[in-house]
Amino acid sequence: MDQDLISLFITIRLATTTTIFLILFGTPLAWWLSQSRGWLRTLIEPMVALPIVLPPTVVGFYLLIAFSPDSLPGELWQSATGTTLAFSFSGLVVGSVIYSLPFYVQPLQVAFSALQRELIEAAATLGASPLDRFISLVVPLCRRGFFIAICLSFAHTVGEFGIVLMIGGNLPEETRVLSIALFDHVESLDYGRAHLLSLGLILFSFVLLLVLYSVDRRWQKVTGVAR
Amino acid sequence: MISLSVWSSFRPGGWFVLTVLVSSMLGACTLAAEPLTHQPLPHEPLRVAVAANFKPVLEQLINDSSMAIKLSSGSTGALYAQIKYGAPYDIFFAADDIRPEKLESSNLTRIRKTYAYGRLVLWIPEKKLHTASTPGETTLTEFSGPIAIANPLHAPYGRAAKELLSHFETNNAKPVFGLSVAQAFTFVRTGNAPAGLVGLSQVIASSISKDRYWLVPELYHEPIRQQLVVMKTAPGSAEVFLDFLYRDTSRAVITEAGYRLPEDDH
Repeated sequence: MDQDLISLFITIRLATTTTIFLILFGTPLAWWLSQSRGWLRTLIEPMVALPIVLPPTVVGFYLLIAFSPDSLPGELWQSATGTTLAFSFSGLVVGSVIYSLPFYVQPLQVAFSALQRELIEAAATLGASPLDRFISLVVPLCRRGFFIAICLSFAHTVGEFGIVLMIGGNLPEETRVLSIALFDHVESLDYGRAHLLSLGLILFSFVLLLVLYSVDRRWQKVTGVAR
Repeated sequence: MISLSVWSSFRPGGWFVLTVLVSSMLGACTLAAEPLTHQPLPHEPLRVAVAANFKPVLEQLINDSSMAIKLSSGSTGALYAQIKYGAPYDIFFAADDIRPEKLESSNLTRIRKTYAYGRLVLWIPEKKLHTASTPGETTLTEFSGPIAIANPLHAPYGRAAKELLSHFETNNAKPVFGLSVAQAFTFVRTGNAPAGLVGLSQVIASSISKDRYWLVPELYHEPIRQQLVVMKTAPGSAEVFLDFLYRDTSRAVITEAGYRLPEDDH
């Protein structure tokens, strides 16, 4: 199969896996951030936002050091799985989850904060369990937040470059994502294929944002409030 | 709370931001489409671009020459692309001979010559080597596990490393690719790869003990020929710097840093 096509599949697989992990772990985190008023929140909130301002190379550099079998996290992973995290797809997922975390958590946190507490309290008095309240009340009410969070974290992972470059090892069929393949084409002066991948990525990102904006606008019209 | 710019742009004004972004990108494309030329002003410092691996050496040489020189470094491919699209450099020290040849055939240069040959080493840090002996040919043939090399697609050290690995048919060595030989070095240095095929200049610069690496004989790979080009538009001081570069004192600096000098075949 064509190498670029393989890179495309790896990229989609990475973005999907990362988004699933973010839904699982980022959702409770966003909920906690929106509800908590303690000092811990004051500390965690900027930590979640850090990947927005840090150069990916900072994250990549420390992940590389953390992944080393000489360091504790790397050693634990190796004794549990027998493999190393650097140069593996799992390593990329770890990096991407950290890198895309704010893009998932922040829109969701805003949506959760805007919820009317009375609705949830009313549901509680009617005997709905916390999980039931979350699934049948919070999720539909915050669908706009979920939609934006999922789209943004997926798109952001597709656009990832710096961290993958530092921890991926550019292995074909394992860690060579589209942005790395594109970089390879530019470096080896294959500008034709570089154009193909670049234009493809521009088109994909544009369509994704286009859908995001139009769906968002429609929901705003329906509900009348930005939530 | 902190609101993301992407987040806050989900308002009517967001379209404006997007339009501005797209149109500025289109603008950049039209600019990039035509290679530009530049006219240097007199008394300006020389502008030199250097492949990252040779940067420390060149910095020292520039310091020794006490000439006014502005140094930029990057990967050979990136610098090549910049020069091709009008970046105002006078001399370009590439890490290979492919990019200099291309620039020459595009009629952009007035001199092209070899300034050094890179040397490849097999580096295995102490604690990773189960036998106490110094790495050598047998270490490589018996090696199994990840081995860090530079990307053979565009890094000359990577090409040489790949040739070496295929020469010995090392089926158990699993190459992992650094973007450049510097990144391959980092992979080993941080302990993520137990071994690496890196540059002699790197192990020397990091003061790595001689019994931790094997200097790969050049018969196992095509020479890593590093060439420089002087651009057509460069001022005459470019030649003055080259004269300095080929002096015995400068050549000694280059050898000590871990490169082989070209004989008079340049």
